Amino acid sequence: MLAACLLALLAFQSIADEEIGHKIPPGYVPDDARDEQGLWMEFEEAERKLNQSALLVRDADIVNYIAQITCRVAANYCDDFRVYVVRNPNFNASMTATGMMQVWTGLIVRAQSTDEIATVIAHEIAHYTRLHSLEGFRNLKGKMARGSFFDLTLLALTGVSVPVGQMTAMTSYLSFNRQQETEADLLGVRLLANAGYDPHASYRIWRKIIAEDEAAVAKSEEPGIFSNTHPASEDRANYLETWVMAGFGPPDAEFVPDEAFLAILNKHYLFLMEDQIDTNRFGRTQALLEHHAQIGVEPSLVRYFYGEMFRQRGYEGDAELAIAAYRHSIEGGAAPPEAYKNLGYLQLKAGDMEAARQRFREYLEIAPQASDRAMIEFYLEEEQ
Amino acid sequence: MSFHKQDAQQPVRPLFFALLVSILLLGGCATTTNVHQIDRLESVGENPRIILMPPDIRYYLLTTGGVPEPNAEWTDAAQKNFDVAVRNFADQIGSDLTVVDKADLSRDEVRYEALHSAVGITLLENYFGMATLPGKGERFDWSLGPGVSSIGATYDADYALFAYYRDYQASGGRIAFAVLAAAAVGAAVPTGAEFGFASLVDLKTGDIVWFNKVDVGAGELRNPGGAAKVVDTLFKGIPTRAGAGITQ
Repeated sequence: MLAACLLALLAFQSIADEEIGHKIPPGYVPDDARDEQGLWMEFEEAERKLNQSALLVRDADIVNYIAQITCRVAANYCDDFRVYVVRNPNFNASMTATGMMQVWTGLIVRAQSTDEIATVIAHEIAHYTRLHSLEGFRNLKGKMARGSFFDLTLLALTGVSVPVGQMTAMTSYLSFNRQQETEADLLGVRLLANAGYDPHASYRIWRKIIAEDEAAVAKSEEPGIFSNTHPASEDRANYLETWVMAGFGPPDAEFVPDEAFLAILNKHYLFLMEDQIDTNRFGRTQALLEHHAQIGVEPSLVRYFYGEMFRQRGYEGDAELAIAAYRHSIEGGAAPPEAYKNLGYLQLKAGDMEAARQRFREYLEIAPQASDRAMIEFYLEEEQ
Repeated sequence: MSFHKQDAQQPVRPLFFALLVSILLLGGCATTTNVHQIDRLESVGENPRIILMPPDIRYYLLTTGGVPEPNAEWTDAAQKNFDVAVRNFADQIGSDLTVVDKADLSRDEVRYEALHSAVGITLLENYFGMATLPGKGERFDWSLGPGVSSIGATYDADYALFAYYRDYQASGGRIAFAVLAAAAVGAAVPTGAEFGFASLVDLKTGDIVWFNKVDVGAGELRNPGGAAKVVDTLFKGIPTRAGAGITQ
């Protein structure tokens, strides 16, 4: 472990020592190279499909929010990017060589501020301006070819048929990939700071992800997230912090989430969190809800999702916890209509017909156009 | 390039890669197979009206170390040649064929295009391939679902034809490597592959009423003559209004 950390630190220092700049100008179009033309064709085809995907978030509010951050970070590269917000509860964003950028909703619910979203976008933009997709592909091609010849030679000389060469090629490719990640981190921080965002966001977001990973592991839902290409989260947070502290000094003030970010989260919280609930990773969900309560998301909404989480988890005693959470949400004054309905269902299950009927009536009062109105009315009549 | 790698969430397509690997390794031992649920086309009009959805065609260069490299020039030529060959084929079998332009597709149509590719690959794996589904057995009752009828309404058509084709051409380096491997240790290194499939979908029900797959030796879409051969092989046995499948 110590050796790995030392290696990561050394690799980081050798990269940090040289100035990492853009490799292509704004408005870049691929040259005549056959492989680059091919990659662009694949990515353009993928983008054509993504444009019509059912998972694409089309809400102008969210898309514009992300697009504005992108443009500000990208500066004169702004026109090179198309921004797609994709419904996926996991933490990620991606960029192709053609400038098709995807931001997953799982990133939005895990960030603490606009600056943290900007840090991820800046990282992706750095991949783009340093031609990482193309160079990664070329690196893999070359290494696999050399590896194959090595294996053949080994087999011919010794009779041993083990794909050592190809395995070495893969390992070496992954390390090349890691170096690209570190480059994108470092150039990304510069872009972030140039755009007037807080460079300290670059490691803060990693600390948050580490905390969530730890919550998941503590609940034994899954093993720790193991990464082959990306520097381990901890290393990443550490080298970014060291670098940002050295380059920009300590943060000016204590961290406070910005209004624009909170407004987006509050306004779209229901659909953003719905997909997270459906992952059934309760340790992660709970860590996220704690995080949201802490940064100031509307408490009624957060409590509603505590209710959802307990209701779906269904351990012994969870029904009671869910009932309490829904009640708490309603008391907060800004509960979504579903809080009344789902509380009603749990009360019905617990045999408290009168209370359940009351909740269902309240639900229909608040949401008269509900798509499940007929179903709810059926319950109301049946229990009379 | 993604920001964060998580094991479970990478957009890998394990089935696709398994399929590719199995084709690269086993290519040559499979034969053309087609299955159908109907023998003749039915239409309320004079001629059955068929639309051709934009075919999903891709050409790759198989590089020395086995990494496939997408090739835009070949793919472009293949798509154009395929298009011409299909129009000729439609004339031959006497059907009204409308070719749908990729640029004109609606959101639903793009999704059905993707769905067809996914269902077709599933068929290759789980119907024709090694991983047959115990619950389905020999039954051929695959469907894109009745939602497809909206496409029928848009184009006023009875059937939709979908096609999928992939070609992996060995590079000079790959061939040299294969020759060397064969000479030095007698190992057979895969030097390319081609495979494809086509479906005829009933636009009232969404059912795949006819399906055909082709593999090695199907032809060469990069030239017009080769494309005609691919189209003939791919659409061999497709039901017609007269009833008899086209046989070459």
